[in-house]
Amino acid sequence: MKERIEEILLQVTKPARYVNSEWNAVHKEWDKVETKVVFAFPDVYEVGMSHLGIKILYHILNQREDLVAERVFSPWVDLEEKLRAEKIPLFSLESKAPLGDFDILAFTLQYEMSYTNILNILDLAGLSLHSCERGEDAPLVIAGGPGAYSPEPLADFIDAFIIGDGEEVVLEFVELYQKMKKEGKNRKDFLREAVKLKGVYVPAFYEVEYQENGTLKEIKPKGEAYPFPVQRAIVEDLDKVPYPDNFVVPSTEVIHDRITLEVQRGCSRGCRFCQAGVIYRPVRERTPENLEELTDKLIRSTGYNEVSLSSLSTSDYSCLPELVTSLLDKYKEKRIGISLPSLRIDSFSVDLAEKVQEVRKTGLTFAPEAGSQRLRDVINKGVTEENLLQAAESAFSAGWLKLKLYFMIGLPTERDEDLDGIVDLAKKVAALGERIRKEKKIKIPVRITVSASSFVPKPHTPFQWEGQVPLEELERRQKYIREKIRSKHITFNWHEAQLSFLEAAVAKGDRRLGQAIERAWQLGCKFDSWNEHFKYDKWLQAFEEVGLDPEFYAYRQLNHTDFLPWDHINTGVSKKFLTREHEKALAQEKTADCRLTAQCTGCGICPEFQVSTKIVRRKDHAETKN
Amino acid sequence: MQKLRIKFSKEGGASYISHLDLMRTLERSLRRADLSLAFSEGFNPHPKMSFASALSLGVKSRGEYLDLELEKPIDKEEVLTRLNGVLPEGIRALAVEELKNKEGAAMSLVAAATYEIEGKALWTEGQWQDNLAALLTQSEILVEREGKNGLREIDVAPFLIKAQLINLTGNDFTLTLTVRAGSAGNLRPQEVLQALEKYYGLTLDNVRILRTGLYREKEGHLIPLISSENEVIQLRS
Repeated sequence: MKERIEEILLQVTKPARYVNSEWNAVHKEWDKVETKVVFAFPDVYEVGMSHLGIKILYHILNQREDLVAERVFSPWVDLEEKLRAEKIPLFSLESKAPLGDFDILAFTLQYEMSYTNILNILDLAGLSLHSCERGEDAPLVIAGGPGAYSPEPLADFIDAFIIGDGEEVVLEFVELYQKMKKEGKNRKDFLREAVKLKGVYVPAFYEVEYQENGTLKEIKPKGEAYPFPVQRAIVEDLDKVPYPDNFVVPSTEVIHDRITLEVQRGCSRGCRFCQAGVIYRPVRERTPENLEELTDKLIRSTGYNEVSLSSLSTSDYSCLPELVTSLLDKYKEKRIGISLPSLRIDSFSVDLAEKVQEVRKTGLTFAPEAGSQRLRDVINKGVTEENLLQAAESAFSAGWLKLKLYFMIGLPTERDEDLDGIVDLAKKVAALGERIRKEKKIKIPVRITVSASSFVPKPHTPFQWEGQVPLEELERRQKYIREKIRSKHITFNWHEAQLSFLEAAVAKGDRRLGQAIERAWQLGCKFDSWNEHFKYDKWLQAFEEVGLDPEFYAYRQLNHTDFLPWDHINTGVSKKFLTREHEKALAQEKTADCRLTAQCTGCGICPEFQVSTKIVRRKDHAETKN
Repeated sequence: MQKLRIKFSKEGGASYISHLDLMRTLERSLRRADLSLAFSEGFNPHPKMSFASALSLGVKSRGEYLDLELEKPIDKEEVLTRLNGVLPEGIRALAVEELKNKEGAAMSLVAAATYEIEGKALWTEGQWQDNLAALLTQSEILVEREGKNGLREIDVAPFLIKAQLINLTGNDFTLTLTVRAGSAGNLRPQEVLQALEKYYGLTLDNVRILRTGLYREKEGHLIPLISSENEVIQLRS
C-alpha cells in the first residue's frame, strides 16, 4: 500500500503536502503504542500546518510513550480523485495508516465553511458519516476548536466535542478512554463517563425540541447524569501547561511558516462582534522568562528564521517592549526576525513595528473595523479617527509606503454615512501618506489596501441575536464603497457576500442544519472557502431539498429570551452580560477593558470558573513607580 | 570567511520536495546545525548558499551539491556530523570540501550528470543493446520540451553522452545515462526515455530515476564537482 501511495504522489500537485519526511514529525512503532490518535484539519496542508492548536496537542499527546498522535489534512482534489479511483482509504501523514485504524479521529473546527470537508474526510476514510451508524470498531470521532462552542450543526456526525482549552482535558479524555477500554467497556459506557470531564459534550445525550413555528424550544439532557449546561475546559495558568519546544517543520511552504509563540491567550477589549474575545477569556499572559526559554528551544529545534509573537491583541501583552528588545538583541546576528501580527492602532505599536523591521521588512495592517465613530462605539472598538491618523503618520514617517486597513460591512445599525466614513478614512490616510512621502522626497506613491469583510453574527457574542444584513444589501454596500473609494492610491477588496451569508446560516444553525451540510457535501460541495470550489447554487439546492431556509437562520433577529442553539454551552461569560452589551451597543455606549481600568465589567468569567486575569506586569504599577 | 561545497543525497520522502522548498529546507537545516551562515546585504538578508543544479520533482539523487559561505571557519568533518544530525529523512550530507576563494560556483561548473533508471519494459537484452547503440549514433534526436512559450521540439543528440544497460532481470531493467547538464546544454533522463519510446517503440512502467552524480569538464574528461572523489568519465571522442 505504501508503495502504491508513493507512486500516486508523483502524479499530484505539491506532493510535499503528503510526505512524512518533515523535520520533527513524530514516528513511533505502530504496534508498540497502546492508543493511536489522528488530528484532522479539514483544509489543505498549507492552511492546517499554520494552526497552533494542533501543534500544541500533537506535542502533548506524543510526549506520552503509550500514545501516538499523527496528522491528516484534506487531500487536494487531484489526490482525492486518485484515492477514490483506486479505493485507497485516506491515510495519516506519519505512518500512512488508514484513518480507520486509529482509536480516535479528532477534528479541529476553525471556520464554518470547512464543515463539508469534515464529511469528505470521514467518507474518504471509509467511515459512516453519522455517529449512530459507526460501530465499536470505528474510531471515536471527536472535535474541538472555536466551532465546538456552537456544535449543533455537526451533532449528527461527531461522537464527542471537547470545548475550551485542550491542553489538560485532552489527556484526561484519552486516559479515560484507555482505562475503560482495558476494562472492556463499550463506547457508550465510555462516553457516559467522559461527559463528567469539564468541556466534554456528547450530543447524543441531549434532545432537541422545536416550537410549532419551527424555532428552537430547548435542548435538554436525556438524563440527570449529563451536565447542563456544558462547561468549557479552561487552563488557569499557561506557564504551567506544556507548550511545544519543537514544531514540525514543513517541507513545503505553508501560510504561517514561522515559529508561533503564543504570548497570551484571551482578549478583554470587548469588541462586540468578536467571538474569540469571549471564548478565550480571561486574559492569561505567559511570563517573558518562559517565552524567552521557549524561543531559544524552538529556534534550535526548528531552524526557522522568524518568530511571531502571537495572540488576539499582541500590543496588550504587558511585557511586549522588553520581550521584543531582548529577542531582537539575542538573535540579530543570526538574522532571525520578530513579527507582530496583531497590532493595536497607536503610535506605540508603530514604534514597535518599526523596531522589528530592522531585520525584516513587512507590511503594516490596521483594523478600525468601522468607518464612523458612532459605529465604532456600537461595536466597542476603542479606536478614534485621531488614533488611526496618528498611527498612520508614525508609519509613513518611519518609511512605510503600504498600509492595509480592515473594515467590516453590514454591522448592526450601519447606514450609508458609515460607509462614507470608510471611504473618507481611507482617503485621509492616503492623502496623509502622500504628503509625508513628498516631504521626504520619496518617488514611490503610497498604496492603501482597504479590505471589507461582511459581518457574520456569531454565537456567544453580544451580536448573537442580530440578523445578518440581507445578501443583496451587502452587495449594494460593497458596490457603494467600490464606486466612491476610487483612487489611484487605494485598492479595495471585499469578500464574497454569498459565502458570508452561508457562514451566518451555519454559524447560527441548530441540529437540523447538519442535514443541509450533508446534502451540500453529497451535491459536491467541499473546500467552500476556496473561491474556485465554492458552489453557491448547490448549497441553496441542498437547503431546499432538506426543507430548510438559510435566510431563517442568517437573517432572523432573535429575542433575548429565546433559547439559542448554543445556550447549553457555557463559555463562562453570562448571557446577562451579553444582553447588557447588546443593549449598550444599540445605545452607542462603550464598555471599558477591565484589564486597563481594573474595573470588573461583570462578564462573569472569573467567578464562574474560579479563574482570574493573569497579567505579568500591571500598567498602573509602572506608572506609580515613575 | 570559509567557502564549502557539500555533496548530499535527496531520496525517500525528500524526493517529493520541489527545488524551491529544498532551498528553504536546507537553510533551516543549516540553522539547526548552528553553522555561522554568511548573509547577503539588504532589507531581506538571505544566507549565501547556492545549488549546482535543480532536480526534477520525484527524481532521487545521490549526487547533489550545495555551495555555502560561513562567517567562521569550521572543521569539515564537524560540518558533516552536525548536518547529518539535523537533516530531515531522505537528505544526507555525503562529503564536504573547502573551496579556494577563486573557485567558481558549482552552478557554473556543471557540465554533465549521470543517472540510473529502473523500470519495467518488454525488451530483450538484445533489443536493449541494439536500440541503445542506435540511439547513440543518431545524428538527430528530437524530443518535446515544455518551455516558456509552450511545447517545442529540440534536438538533444549533442547532449547524450552514454546510455548503457547494466542489468536485466525478467522485465526489470537498470539503465545508466551520462548526459550534458548545465548552462551549455541540458538533457533530462525522462527525455531519453521519451526518445526510446518515439524512435524504438519502448513501452515503460514503474519508472524510477536516480541522479548519481554531477560533473565538471576538464581536459576532455568529466570529473566530480568535489576533487576528493577521483572517479573520471572519459568523454566520447
